Amino acid sequence: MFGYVRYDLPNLYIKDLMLYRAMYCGLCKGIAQSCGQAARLGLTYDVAFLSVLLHNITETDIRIEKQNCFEHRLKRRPIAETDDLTRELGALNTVMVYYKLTDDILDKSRGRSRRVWFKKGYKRARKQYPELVKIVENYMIEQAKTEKRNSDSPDMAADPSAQMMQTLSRHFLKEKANAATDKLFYALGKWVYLIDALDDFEKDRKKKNYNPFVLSYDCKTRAELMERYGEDIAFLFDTTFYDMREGLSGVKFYYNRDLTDNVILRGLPAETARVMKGEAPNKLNAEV
Amino acid sequence: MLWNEEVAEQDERFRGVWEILGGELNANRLKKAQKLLDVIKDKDAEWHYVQAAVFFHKSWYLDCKKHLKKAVRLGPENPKYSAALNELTEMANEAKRNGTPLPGTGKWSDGCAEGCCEVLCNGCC
Repeated sequence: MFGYVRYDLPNLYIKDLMLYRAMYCGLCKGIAQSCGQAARLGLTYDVAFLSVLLHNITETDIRIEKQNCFEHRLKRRPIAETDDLTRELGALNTVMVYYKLTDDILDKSRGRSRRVWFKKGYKRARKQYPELVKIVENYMIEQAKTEKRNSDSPDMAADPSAQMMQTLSRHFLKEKANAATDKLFYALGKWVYLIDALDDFEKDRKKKNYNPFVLSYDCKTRAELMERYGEDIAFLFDTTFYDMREGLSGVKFYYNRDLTDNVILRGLPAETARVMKGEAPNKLNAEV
Repeated sequence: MLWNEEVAEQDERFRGVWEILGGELNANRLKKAQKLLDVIKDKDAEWHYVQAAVFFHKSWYLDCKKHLKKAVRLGPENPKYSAALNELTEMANEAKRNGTPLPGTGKWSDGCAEGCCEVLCNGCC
């Protein structure tokens, strides 16, 4: 669920690498402010990307200053100042991690001790952002219902996650939400679900967890799945990328969009190719 | 775009569904269209074609493709089924042409560009 949203390093400008890092650190501070220090352990690049995208579309300017932080006490780093949007996204990060761990506990009775770290933060998020938490909660219930139906349709299985992302975008974008943002965010949510399901194909098959690819295609390994049904899988992702591109073309960006374009148009397809080939995650760090 | 030109001379059984698809769409209206389709018992080629249209508007493209294939199989004499299937396939091909292609799809990154990037960044990714 987390960790798949990545930039495409060979095509990333250095300014955008700095911006992403500053936003990542800014989100970490935002989590601390809205949900407490312990919740910082759940910090994800996925929500940092969402922060970059939403700041741009909502015309919320970003101020970057050199600051110290929890992890880097000695050396000051460029960090995006926290604003209301970042704090709320910090709460979203915490809530998503909390539900992911809850899901793990229900699935495999694992993750109980990790979830304790986020319980307080989750409660704070519920109190401060009830509308946001309700959106996530409702769609988590929908996702569980859909999975219980044991549908073998990847489209159907991904629908609640895609709808959640779309509803979250409407929540954050308010009057700036439109048909183009709906299309873009639906496709992003769909991609996140599908890439996770594809990556977990063998694990889910072995543990008998719900996975639409396992139910739909009778294959023992992901390599076999790709060999026999690669065309279907590529079609599924290609059409999702088509919608992202269509959505992007109608979205009004107020600031430079190089970073979000890099992630959406290059990073996500590259990550999809990696998962399809069954390769290990790429190292994404570069010394600047 | 697919199905935009659908008009009233359609099969009477699907009039309600086309009316919904022709108007402003949201999740509830698409649910209503699906319900109208579900009550139709005779699942012939046209039914699969209309089901594909509903899935298309939901962005459920793989399901859309499956139903279009069934429509082509059940009604090979009707060119609109295969035309819609071709258009849908072309949509995915367009994404391949414009983006970073996925493995085994035989587009430009299978050749020089990907390898060059790896060499230029000296194994940093």
